[in-house]
Amino acid sequence: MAWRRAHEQELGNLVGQWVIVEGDDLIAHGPDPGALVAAARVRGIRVPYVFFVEPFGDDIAKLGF
Amino acid sequence: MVTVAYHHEIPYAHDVNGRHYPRLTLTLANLGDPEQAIDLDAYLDSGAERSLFDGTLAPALGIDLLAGQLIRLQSPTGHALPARLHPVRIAHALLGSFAIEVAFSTGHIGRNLLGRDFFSLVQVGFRESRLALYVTALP
Repeated sequence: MAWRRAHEQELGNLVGQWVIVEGDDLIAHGPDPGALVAAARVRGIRVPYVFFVEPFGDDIAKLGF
Repeated sequence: MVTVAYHHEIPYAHDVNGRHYPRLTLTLANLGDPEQAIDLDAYLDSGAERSLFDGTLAPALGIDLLAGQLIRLQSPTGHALPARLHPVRIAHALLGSFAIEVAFSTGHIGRNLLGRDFFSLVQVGFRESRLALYVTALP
């Protein structure tokens, strides 16, 4: 998703939160993805793109879960 | 020599810190109500027996999380992660759409995984040296 690449610094402030992005716009962020999706649909976004911002750093490597 | 042909090459997704991951952006929809759908990212995990999605997303799909069959997913640490099975529709721009039963965690996990159940529907090749996936929807 292009937004994520273009806003890496902003993502650092959103660690631990769910985020909804539509095109170039950050629509909403917070702890409850269900509430965020509902808010996005009220704004007319029929199928919102939602993702969780995981902690990141040079000392972190991801496994499946 | 074994040769496998693929229809699509998909670059790994770029993530923060300049890292790249085999991750697809999908549409996940309620099988009985296609209007209840979200776009999300899921990591391809050939070690996962089941596809797994964060259960806190279930309400956004109109899914009653705890109504699904209980399953325990065993992690490398030996701890079992409880999850519930639900039928959904997964759609991808290049691969089409599939009805599939997946697991939703009963707690927050943050990272969605596509496991071997998804791999039974899609031929997937990894080319780590090129940070690329090769995929073909199976007939």
